[in-house]
Amino acid sequence: MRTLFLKTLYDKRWFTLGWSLGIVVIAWMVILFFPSLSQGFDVDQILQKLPAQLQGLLGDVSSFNTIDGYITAQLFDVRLVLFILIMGLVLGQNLTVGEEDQGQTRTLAASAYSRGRILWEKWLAAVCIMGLAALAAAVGTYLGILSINEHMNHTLIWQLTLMGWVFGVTALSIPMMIGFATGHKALTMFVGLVVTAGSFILTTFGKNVDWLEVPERFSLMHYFNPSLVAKDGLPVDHLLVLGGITLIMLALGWLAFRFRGLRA
Amino acid sequence: MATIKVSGISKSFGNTKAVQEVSFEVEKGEVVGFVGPNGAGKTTTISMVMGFIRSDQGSVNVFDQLVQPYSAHRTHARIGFASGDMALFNNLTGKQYLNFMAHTVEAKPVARETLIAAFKPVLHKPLKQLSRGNKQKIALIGAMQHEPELIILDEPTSGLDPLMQDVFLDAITKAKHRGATVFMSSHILSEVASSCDRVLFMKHGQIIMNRDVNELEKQQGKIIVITAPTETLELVAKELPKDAVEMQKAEHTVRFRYTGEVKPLLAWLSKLTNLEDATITRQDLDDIFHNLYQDEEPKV
Repeated sequence: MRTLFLKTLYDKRWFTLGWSLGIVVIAWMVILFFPSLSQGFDVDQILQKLPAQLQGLLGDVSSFNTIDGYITAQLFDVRLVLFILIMGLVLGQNLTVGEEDQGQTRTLAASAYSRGRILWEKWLAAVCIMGLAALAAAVGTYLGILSINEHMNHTLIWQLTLMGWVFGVTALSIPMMIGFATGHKALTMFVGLVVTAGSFILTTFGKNVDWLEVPERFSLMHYFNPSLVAKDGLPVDHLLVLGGITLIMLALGWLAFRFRGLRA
Repeated sequence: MATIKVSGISKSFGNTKAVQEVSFEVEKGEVVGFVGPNGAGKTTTISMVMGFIRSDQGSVNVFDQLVQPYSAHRTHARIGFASGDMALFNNLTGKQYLNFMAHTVEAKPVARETLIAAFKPVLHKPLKQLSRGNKQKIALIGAMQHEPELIILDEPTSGLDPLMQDVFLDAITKAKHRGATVFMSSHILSEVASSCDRVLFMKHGQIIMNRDVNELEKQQGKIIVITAPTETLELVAKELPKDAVEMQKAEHTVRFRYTGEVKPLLAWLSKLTNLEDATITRQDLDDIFHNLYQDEEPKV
């Protein structure tokens, strides 16, 4: 273990394995339901009975007719996105304020590691972990498709995987950089939860509530739109927004972490 | 050029003034002890020397470089640091921890093996499974395995048994002989007395004494205890020698500190009649510590 990057990956091996396996299983299970849901009952009829404001919670139900549409809307759009947000929050919080609270950041700072290097190597390791989680979504999807003997557009799977990774990196960078910048556990959790829960509420309700149209643009989930990916390919503007947020958070975290005192 | 130069540093946490305008220097090759009761400001001072936290005012220079959180790492390859409550990386084994720390500095395998042979730590188990003492041994080896020019230790032996404390003192002596500078805080005053050239006493966030250890013990004088019948003690208490201070009278004894020359003391003692016993002991760091911090000792 020569670097903090490798040490972080080693430290988080069970976390990574657990979340990745969980995502594989969820993706696989969601796809197993496709044959029943697409043929067993009238989805449109169920949808019409739901209040418009709640229809967003189910995703785009009209897409149940095709495997591409089903996976896009039911797996990536509703479930995986939430998993990625929560995973990013837990990982970002754990690698920063969690370790600082235990005094491990002080031990690192006593070595010849610069503050900047501590931040970059931990962040890069976290980016790789999010990449493995996104990859797990693709693996689960392929397993599911094979299990029900269906065929799917491979390009779409990899585009959604890539989009999920970029989204995951942004979702991770927000709490992680707040943690690095402040060292404050409660503040990091608060901001992380506001971003996670706020995004989920704004986007799920925003799809069918008119007055949420503008506020919904402040939701992180607005920029992870699998339906848009299925329709037009990778949305460059959304990728740029997610990349921009990540870069701004990195810059803020780096600047503040270099100058502040450690808490424990 | 001083290895450590601390100039007028202060640090407050809210309304609490942890460190107030502290200044001192540690010269190359010196072993300096840093003593004080809990909450005196020792760890806060060491945190500023290491660049973990910023001072509210004043400056710290180590190896002639200004220490700031963003630049402290530039000197850390030349520093070995360990503290009594050091958080090691619990998922790693002792061996993995030492390897990881060694990769950030210029490794000295022979020095490391010598320390491992002396401390005999458990290296193959994850750190989270080890006792406090074993973790402390590994932290100390990690701090000294690259033969740093400067060793900074904060309560380094708090988890070690007496045998390992001796091993630690031996390692400090060896470090001193190869020219290393050592700055360590400690509660164990015998450890400071036997290993340090100089000692800084800290109280309420301020340095209240900064002295050479031998000189200090000489200057602080001797403790004289006279045992005699009550009537004799009455006379003794009234006619103490010229340089006697801090007299304490009990039922059968009179105790005082004597800071003068030995001849007048012996002459005074020879004049006393009816003596049952008289003891003369050199005042050690423990006594000095108790004198300095008397008002802070818990009342029974």
